[in-house]
Amino acid sequence: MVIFRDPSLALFAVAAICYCIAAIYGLLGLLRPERFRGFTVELILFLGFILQTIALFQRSFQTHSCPIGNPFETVQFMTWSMMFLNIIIGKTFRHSVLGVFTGTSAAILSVIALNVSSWDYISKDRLFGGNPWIEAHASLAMCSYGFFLMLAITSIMYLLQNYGLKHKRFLPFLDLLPSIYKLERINFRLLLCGNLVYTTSLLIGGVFWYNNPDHILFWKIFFAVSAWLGYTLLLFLRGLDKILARRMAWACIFLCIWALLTLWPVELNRDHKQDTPPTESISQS
Amino acid sequence: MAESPQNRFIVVGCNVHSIANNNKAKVSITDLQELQFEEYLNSDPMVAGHLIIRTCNRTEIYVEYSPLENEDSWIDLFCRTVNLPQENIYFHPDAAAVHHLMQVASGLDSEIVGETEILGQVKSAYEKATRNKTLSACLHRIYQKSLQAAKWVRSHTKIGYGHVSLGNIVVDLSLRVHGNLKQSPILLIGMGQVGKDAATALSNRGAKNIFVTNRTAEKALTLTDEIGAKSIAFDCWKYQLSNYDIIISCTSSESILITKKMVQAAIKKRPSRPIFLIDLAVPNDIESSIDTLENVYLYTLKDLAQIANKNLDYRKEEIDVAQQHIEERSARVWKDAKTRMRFIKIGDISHKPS
Repeated sequence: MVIFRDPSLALFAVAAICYCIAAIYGLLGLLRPERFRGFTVELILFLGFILQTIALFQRSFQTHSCPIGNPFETVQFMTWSMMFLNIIIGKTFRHSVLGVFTGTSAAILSVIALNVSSWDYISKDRLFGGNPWIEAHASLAMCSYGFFLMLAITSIMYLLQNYGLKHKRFLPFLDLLPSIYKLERINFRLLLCGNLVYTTSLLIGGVFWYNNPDHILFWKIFFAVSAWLGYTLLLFLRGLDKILARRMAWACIFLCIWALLTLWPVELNRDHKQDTPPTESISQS
Repeated sequence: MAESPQNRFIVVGCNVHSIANNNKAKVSITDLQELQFEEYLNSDPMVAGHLIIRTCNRTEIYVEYSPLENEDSWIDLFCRTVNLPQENIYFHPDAAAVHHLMQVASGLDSEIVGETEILGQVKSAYEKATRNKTLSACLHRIYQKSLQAAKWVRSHTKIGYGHVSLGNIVVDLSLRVHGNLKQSPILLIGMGQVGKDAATALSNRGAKNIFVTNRTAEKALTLTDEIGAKSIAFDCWKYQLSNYDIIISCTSSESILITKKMVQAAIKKRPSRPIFLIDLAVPNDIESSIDTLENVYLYTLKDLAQIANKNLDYRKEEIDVAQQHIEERSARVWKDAKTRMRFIKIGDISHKPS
């Protein structure tokens, strides 16, 4: 079996199992909040995170670059950065309920990535042409996607809490969610941080594109910039208090879906890039 | 060899259910009456151990005594001391008494099913009796087992699900909207009892910035003393709505006090901070269409009552599960307790806990 031939793949699989267990345990716990043990969820997720970190570390040695060389690695890296954020900000949530939502998303993404075997192909050339700047651009972009995924999760939590309060629904697990006010503030901070990281990534990528205009497909730039514009506009409107509460939450979810869709043109560009090696790198300019 | 007769274990008492019209005044006893019970029970050589549970909703005495004593004497003593006719009190002997104690400790026999306060009260009564050394070894065991049963019921059933008092429901909702009550400025308009209860519940849960306003300023001052709230003039609050995170209205006004326009203007000044409005007045003080505004949450007295009733129904659904468990457990405990009970002979006072 492939899984045993590649130790990193086995670790990714075990990490995915951890995320699945945490998700199932957490979701069942939300149905009976009086028996919900947030610490157990966090512990299983942390184990999964450690295994995923080791797996990504192994992959980076195999590929001699940041492990985002194919869709499988991209999804794994995004999931990893989302889990990393969960560890950092999860403590601000009552009863680690964020872990349940993050764990569920991580489980879904990991299982999909592991099941589509065509995603985990081996690159023809060395990734990113050995250029550390473009590697930094790609890894920062994936980190910002982790922020945006987390933002979508907290937005879903906001909508659930808002729905419960507006429609006077009292599902027991709603008591475990953070308050509306706290979720609003968390959303704003995540949007701000995600946008900063994404902007930095695009700036680095922009310089590379300026020096190697033929190396990057127009569609990749179009989609990447469209996602950035979307998030920047949202941040700007939120800063001016023009978009708030429910609308802001919906906007975050739609933008996250859009940002994930933009990964497809990035993948197209990867094929294109492998046909035409870069003439000049950012470090040479 | 003939088997010696065993001691008896009984409970005699009254609660809000046993008294007509739920007259709480007749249910609770005075310190003097409790002392009378204690004196009698301590001086009776036929009593191996006893415990008195005294709350605002019930008075009960649990006694382990010699079978040579007539059980009617306990009923007479209770009726005499609390000044109640026999039909207003209940008496449960042996296994039924254990079953009753477990029911009481679990909150199944409370006025509001599943209330948590009673477990603390039973615990306090047990601690007091232990301190005073009025418990026999057998009573100790029955009490400990009953407390364990009550804990099991609370953790394995939903008998204590949600809140059923309006004050606590208001606190829960406020936490879901604002999270930290310590920082949230709260405005109480009017001095209706339900409003005062809500403000007190918020204060008990850490709210520090409570402001009270009332047409009669003197009335508002009573609450400022009770919960440390600040009083503001009744003419001012309309212009300061945007300063408050939680607004509770409980006046006897016949017309709407807080309109959609007012709240719209207030939320415009603080768009990212939600406003939580609670209308506890009948007829309503707050325009109902306010609920359609973004970041504004409105709950009326009717909404809160619906939540309380739903939670209560939810608790009642769990009664059967809890009862079944208590029945099994009380039978087991009684079987075990019987083997530990010692027969007290007349004149034998060595059985008394020292």
